Amino acid sequence: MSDLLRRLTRRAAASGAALADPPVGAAQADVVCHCMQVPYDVVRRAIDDGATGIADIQRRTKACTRCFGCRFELEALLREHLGDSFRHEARVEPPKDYDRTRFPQPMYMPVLAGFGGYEVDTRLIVFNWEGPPEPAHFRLDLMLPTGERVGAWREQAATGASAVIDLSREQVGGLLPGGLGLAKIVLDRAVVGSLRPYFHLQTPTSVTTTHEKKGPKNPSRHGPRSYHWIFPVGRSAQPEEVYFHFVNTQLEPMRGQRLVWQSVDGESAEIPLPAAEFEQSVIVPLHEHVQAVGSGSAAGSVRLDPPLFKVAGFMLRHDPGRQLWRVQHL
Amino acid sequence: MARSASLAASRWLPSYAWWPPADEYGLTVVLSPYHVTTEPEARFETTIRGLAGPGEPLFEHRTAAYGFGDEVAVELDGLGPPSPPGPGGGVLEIHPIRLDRDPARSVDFLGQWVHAEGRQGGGYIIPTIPVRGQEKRIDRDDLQVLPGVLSSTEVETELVVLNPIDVPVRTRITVSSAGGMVVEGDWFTIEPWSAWRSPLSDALPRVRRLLAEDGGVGSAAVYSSHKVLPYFGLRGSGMPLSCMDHAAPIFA
Repeated sequence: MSDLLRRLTRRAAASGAALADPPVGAAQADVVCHCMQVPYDVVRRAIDDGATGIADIQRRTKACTRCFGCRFELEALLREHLGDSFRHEARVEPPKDYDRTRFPQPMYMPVLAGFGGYEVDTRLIVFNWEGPPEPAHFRLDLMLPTGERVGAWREQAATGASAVIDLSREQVGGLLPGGLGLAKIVLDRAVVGSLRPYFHLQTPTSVTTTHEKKGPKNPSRHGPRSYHWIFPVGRSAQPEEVYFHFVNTQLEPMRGQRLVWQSVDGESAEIPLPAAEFEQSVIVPLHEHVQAVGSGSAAGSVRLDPPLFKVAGFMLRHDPGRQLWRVQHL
Repeated sequence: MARSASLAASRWLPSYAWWPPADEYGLTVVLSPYHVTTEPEARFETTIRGLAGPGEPLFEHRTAAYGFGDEVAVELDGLGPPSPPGPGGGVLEIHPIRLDRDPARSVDFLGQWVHAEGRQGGGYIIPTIPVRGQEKRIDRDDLQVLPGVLSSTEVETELVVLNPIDVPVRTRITVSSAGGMVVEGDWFTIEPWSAWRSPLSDALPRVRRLLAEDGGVGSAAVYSSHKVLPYFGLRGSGMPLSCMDHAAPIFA
């Protein structure tokens, strides 16, 4: 995984990458934990010295102690060294002194770059307006639905300007099998101000926009929620593809979850969901599961049940004939 | 059609959405108890009002009481309300209240959803949002931002700003190119309980030239004397609007 990440990161950077100043360079590509700036070599030495799990690496190197986005890369390093004796842990454990309040929450967005074979691309915008006088720096991670990171870039938005980041088929399509990924933004500053990222889905005929969804303040806390995440459904004059996309933003793996469609007439259907670990994302083609949602013949909602997890969720409606994507955050 | 005393005094505050012209969009207000609670004893009633100016609402619809476990959707077409006068549309007030209890906080709101189907295709899905009562920590009420506006011959941004309070609001829109070049619009007034709507390039005629060097992409800031509710959507040339989202606040 580490070599793959380096190769892909270099390829994206070398391709022009539209990844704003300053792009990831070779030195950055040698870093595995971008939050704490821990190089691969330091982690390898820790493993050589006896680290056998993520918790050991956290204690010895400080890697994977802030946003936890490097855990799959660390696991790949552990697997290289430990072979079959390595055991993947589904739950990500924060370090004992972990204090989430010191850091701004990561922000997540879906990336469509040729998803479904369609001509659809993603563009991300961060606007730095009336904040502190210095440029706003942030990191952009590009992740697969499996949670594995396939690219990481340092970005900045100058004061009074916007960082516009091209996540199109041309730029990142080669990194995303199936044309689907997840963008994660980690700000360098504690105050978000105007820096909430928005994203565009672009087709030859349209552009649609909505904003990110944040992870929880404390991703290690998990339990009953006071409401469900829902996908509202109104009746529609024409059939559409309807997708429910979400990422698990909590360190606890999501298990036993389902989507429940309920119409205003009481019609209901259940869609079991696969398990999703931290930062693993799921896209569900609701139109394939619930005929009424795809045909537009009934109003109601689709809810995530039971209400136990904070997800960063998005609803996507697609009119393939007109190449119109409609997107909205949950 | 004055607001009933019980509704006006409720600590459950109303939320809002754009009320577009009826010949452009068919609106469904999705009222899902699942979106606001998990308490099985929860009971609700929702009042939906269409406003377009400081006078009386142009229509009002009150749902029957409903409870947790129900799904309710109000299709405006089915109510047969008048269309808001003028292409700018009006303000849709969505005011769900809990019948079984008051908010745990001093005030709260029960956000719901609007599903808008374009008569010519497209449309948008958007949450209803309040003017006050949200828990998010916001730095200022006089400024909100619209990251990622577009203005070119291929794509245009459509702006909608709602004034859901009783006083006229002075508003100004500023656009910044991706590189940081700025065009400032003039101050204008949005009357109480009214919607203001404009293509971005009509509101700021120099904006296409401003954004041209950055591929037509920039961001906008909406300044206002009181808090307003700005929205923006994007429309491909000759195509229907395919989204509408709300502005971002300046987070504390």
